[in-house]
Amino acid sequence: MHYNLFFNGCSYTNGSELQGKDDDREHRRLHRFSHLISEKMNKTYDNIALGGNSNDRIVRSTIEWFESGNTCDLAIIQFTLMSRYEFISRHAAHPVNFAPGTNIPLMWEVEGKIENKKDYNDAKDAYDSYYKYVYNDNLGLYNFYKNLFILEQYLEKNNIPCYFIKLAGDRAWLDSPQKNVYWRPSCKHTYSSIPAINGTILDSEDRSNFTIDYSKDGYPALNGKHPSELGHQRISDYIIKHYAYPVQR
Amino acid sequence: MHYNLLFNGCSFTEGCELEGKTKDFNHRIKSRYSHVIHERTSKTYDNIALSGVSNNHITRTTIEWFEKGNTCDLAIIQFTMPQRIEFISGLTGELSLFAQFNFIPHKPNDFYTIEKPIDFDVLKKSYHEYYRHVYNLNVGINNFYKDLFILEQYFDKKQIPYYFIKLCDINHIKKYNDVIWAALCKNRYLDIPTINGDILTMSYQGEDYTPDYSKDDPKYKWLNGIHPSELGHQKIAEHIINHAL
Repeated sequence: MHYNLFFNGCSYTNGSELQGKDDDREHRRLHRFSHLISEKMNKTYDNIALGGNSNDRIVRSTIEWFESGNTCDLAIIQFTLMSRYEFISRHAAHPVNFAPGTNIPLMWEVEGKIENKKDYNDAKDAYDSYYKYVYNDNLGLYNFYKNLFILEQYLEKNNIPCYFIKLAGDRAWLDSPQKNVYWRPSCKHTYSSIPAINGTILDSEDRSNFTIDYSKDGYPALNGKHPSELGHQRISDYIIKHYAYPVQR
Repeated sequence: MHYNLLFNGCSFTEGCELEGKTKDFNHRIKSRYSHVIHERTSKTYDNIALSGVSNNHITRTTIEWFEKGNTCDLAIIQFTMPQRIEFISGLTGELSLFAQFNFIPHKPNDFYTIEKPIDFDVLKKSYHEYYRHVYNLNVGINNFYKDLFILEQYFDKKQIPYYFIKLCDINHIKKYNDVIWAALCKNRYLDIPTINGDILTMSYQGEDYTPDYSKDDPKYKWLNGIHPSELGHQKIAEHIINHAL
């Protein structure tokens, strides 16, 4: 199917927390930045972002979206935290995503359910070890650039215009030009040059950009860490302003 | 610079053990299959293979070779064991090579001169934890296919002809799950010719392989008879000439 705009990313692009206490998914869909941009520019769009997504999965699912026959005029890809990782258990061929802090492997490919206890235990064991002993930010940056290279190559090969943003810029110091960062020399973008939602697009100190924290009221998923309706409006304005393509077309 | 042929891979393509007890590295260069092909076809070549490296490394360095401005008429890429990965030190940012059963800290320019890095103990802990708790066959195969996808896309985009071979099948397993990245690739793991099995005998014994000197003296620990002999390299060269040139 053809869409004018294609969006992929993590919870920020998914619109997490916009559903509020009423779990109003339609409200979320209508207020996330993908819908605001498309509405303002009168464009069709698809948004396949998922909360907890890793860059591994964002890149893979983007390519799968195109390879399954979809097309678009512009792909807007939001990279997530470089610490996240896609893992496959020894007991199942479906992938799970590791996101530090969540303390659980995320399994959308089985509709959020744990397929079996052996599968879950294997993934949980790997998750614990990965963040305790294996992961470091240099490895995260390596993985980010490898994924960036894959996506740049794919989009360029298939003549698909793209615009990249990222969730946060809090690891930008890692990307120092003096440092030897593997995969970076082969990429067209740099980690530092991709606008960060938290910091560049939104003022992280301005609470109006973010949802209200209801986690203490018994809503653990509504912890005030995601953009509010106003935050999404500002992300939408930023993308329209900085990427003229949808306006000029 | 332009070459007719580019070779990349692990120790099998680097020609490990051909140097023998006398460490005759010139003999290694002259006897490995990349040079044998050059002698038989007069084609110019570059060989950037390194011992102990992973498919992550082979993929990355192949692309870096082209991105530096080099060109070739045919890229011959030898994939290695999918268990191996590139690991980056959190302390120094230096590269390490994780190969299951074989921990190689930092750059493997030469097995004979590896120095112990300052974060050796941290790296070793990461290495052990990775293979004990994170790595499994699905992770390895998925990692292989992600690298394969990168190379296939890159070669297609740049219109670079290529020929793939691989070191061996994982534990000689002939059945595995075709995990996520596989669906996006043109080639299949099991269809790529295997040096150890399809081209040479699978046993690591006999005239296709170097003699095992490691039992004679600890100083010959890298001469353990698991790499192709001069005859083995000739057979690999013949296979490539017959199938790719």
